[in-house]
Amino acid sequence: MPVIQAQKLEKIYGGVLGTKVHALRGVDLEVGRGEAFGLLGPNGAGKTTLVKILLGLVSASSGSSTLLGQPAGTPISRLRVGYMPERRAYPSFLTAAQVLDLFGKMLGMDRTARQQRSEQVLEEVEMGKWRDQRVGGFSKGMQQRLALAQALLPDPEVLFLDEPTEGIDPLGRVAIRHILRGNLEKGKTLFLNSHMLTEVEMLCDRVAILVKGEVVRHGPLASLTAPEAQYRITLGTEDTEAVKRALAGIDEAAEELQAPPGQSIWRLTVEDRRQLNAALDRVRGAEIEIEEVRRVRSSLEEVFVETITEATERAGDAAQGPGGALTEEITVPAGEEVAR
Amino acid sequence: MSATTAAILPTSPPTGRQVLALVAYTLREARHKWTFVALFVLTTLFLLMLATVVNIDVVEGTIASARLFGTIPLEIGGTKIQVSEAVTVIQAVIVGLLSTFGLVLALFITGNIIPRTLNPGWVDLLASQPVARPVLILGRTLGAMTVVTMSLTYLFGGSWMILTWKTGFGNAGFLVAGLLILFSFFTCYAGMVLAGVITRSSPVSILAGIGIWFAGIPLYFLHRFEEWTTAFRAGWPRTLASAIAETLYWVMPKTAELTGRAAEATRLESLSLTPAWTSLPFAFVSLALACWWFSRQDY
Repeated sequence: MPVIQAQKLEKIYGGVLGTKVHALRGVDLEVGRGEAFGLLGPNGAGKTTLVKILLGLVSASSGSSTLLGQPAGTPISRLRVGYMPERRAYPSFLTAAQVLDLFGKMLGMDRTARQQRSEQVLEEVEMGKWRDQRVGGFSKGMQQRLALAQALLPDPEVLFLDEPTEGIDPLGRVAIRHILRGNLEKGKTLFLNSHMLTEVEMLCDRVAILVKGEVVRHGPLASLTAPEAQYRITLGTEDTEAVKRALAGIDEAAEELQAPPGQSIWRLTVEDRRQLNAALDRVRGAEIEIEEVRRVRSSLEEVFVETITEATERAGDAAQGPGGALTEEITVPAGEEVAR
Repeated sequence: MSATTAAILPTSPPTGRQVLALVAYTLREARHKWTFVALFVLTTLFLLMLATVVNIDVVEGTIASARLFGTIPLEIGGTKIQVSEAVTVIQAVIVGLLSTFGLVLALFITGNIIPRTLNPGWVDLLASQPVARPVLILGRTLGAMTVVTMSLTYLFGGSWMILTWKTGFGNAGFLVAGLLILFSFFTCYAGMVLAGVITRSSPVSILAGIGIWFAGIPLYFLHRFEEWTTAFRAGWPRTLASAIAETLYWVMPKTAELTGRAAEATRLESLSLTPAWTSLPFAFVSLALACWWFSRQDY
């Protein structure tokens, strides 16, 4: 059973008199137990709205969602959930320990559990020595760590993180990544909402890209970043003609890349590994030395930019169709096939 | 579910503990506000003054002499003043001040408790906990009530004990008056909660609370003086105006009458609690509406 499930989630902000904003358009999503899931999208794509619907901070206009098997938004569904929001404002007069004590009480922990767990999580985020300092004096990075400590307080089964490393220095990011990996190893589920694509790439095994409230692409990170069987082959020769002769017949699938002296580098697009091996056999048969064969992967950033551009172009085309674009919420007509 | 999670968390949202946590948080918040500290200091100074400055000699139930700072005699005009009368007068002054200026001050000080709960960034954190939203509102309301109850108890209890100790006359009516002032505060505060939840603005919330308190005065006079309503009934627009005023009188808290009842209680006069129980629906409906509104908002 999925830990997080969303079916045809729609959210329209705005009322009778105000401008309507279609924040989510029929989002379907499933996240399994122990998975590290990354939700990507440009500003205003609906990422935070989706997370807030799952946590009951925002009500869905239609559709349904569950969290840990309970209807999302109910208090009981949030009992074993940690949430680190992007926007947070702790009362400045509370100390770090008092913040955790308050949230421990809200979770129903007894005094001993609150004290022990607070110590643990503050140490985990390296805030132990600041436990009795008032939040008002904390830097942004320290507040970020405190928010992570608060999210970890219930030892949650699902951890929602909205931009967890924003405002944190590189060393701090490594530390936070380390903490999150530790939680993943313990079987926790991670739902990461971030603009920091490298963070998502390093932590998540599955991602979804949200554009204008629609999931336009989703799947395992590995398959998104390596959509076709492309290989980069480094050969120990400068004789490109000899390579072309060896690859005769499939040379259209081979593209020569820039190479240092004494080498030639080719990008080969093949249908499958058998075709790759056949090509390599031909190269060897021509007595050309193969120095390296590497699968070509796009970076997540490339995939992200490509997806957004495509979705925006499609939305633009749709807007210029019969009737044209009237308002923002109908620029991408519902039901249009955008996702791959 | 991991073993640790199972060990430290209950199986269902702990509503009672959550309410207590919010009350404790509100008390902590109050302690860090200078207005509360100032109020505490002022009350303490007043009690110290009452305890040390005025010396009253009582002989056979009447005041034989009264002195300030132990040396300056207070003229009592040669007439014998009953101790009970003197104590009642002092307490009536305290009740009069508290049921007007004190109550408005209490509304002013507590008016931003609900809007502060709804501050962006803080409400997200609170509402994402395993807590039902009405619990957040009720917990904070109970917290505000606790703060005001503690302040009133300190002032009323302190002055009552000092006067009883000095004169030997314990006026229970004074304590009843304290309860009526607290009740009057509660009815205004409930309206303030509703305004705070809808507007998320401290100034609007404070104005609403004080406005509700002040509205009780003209509404009482419009209701009380029958000749006014009779005059209104001369034509249909006047009848309509009269009907509106009368409806508002019954809907809104009867703050003016509650103040009057508090004074009557101090004088140990027979007490009608009609203004109290007819003000209760306003408080409950306001709180219910506030909870309903808060539950359907997006944050």
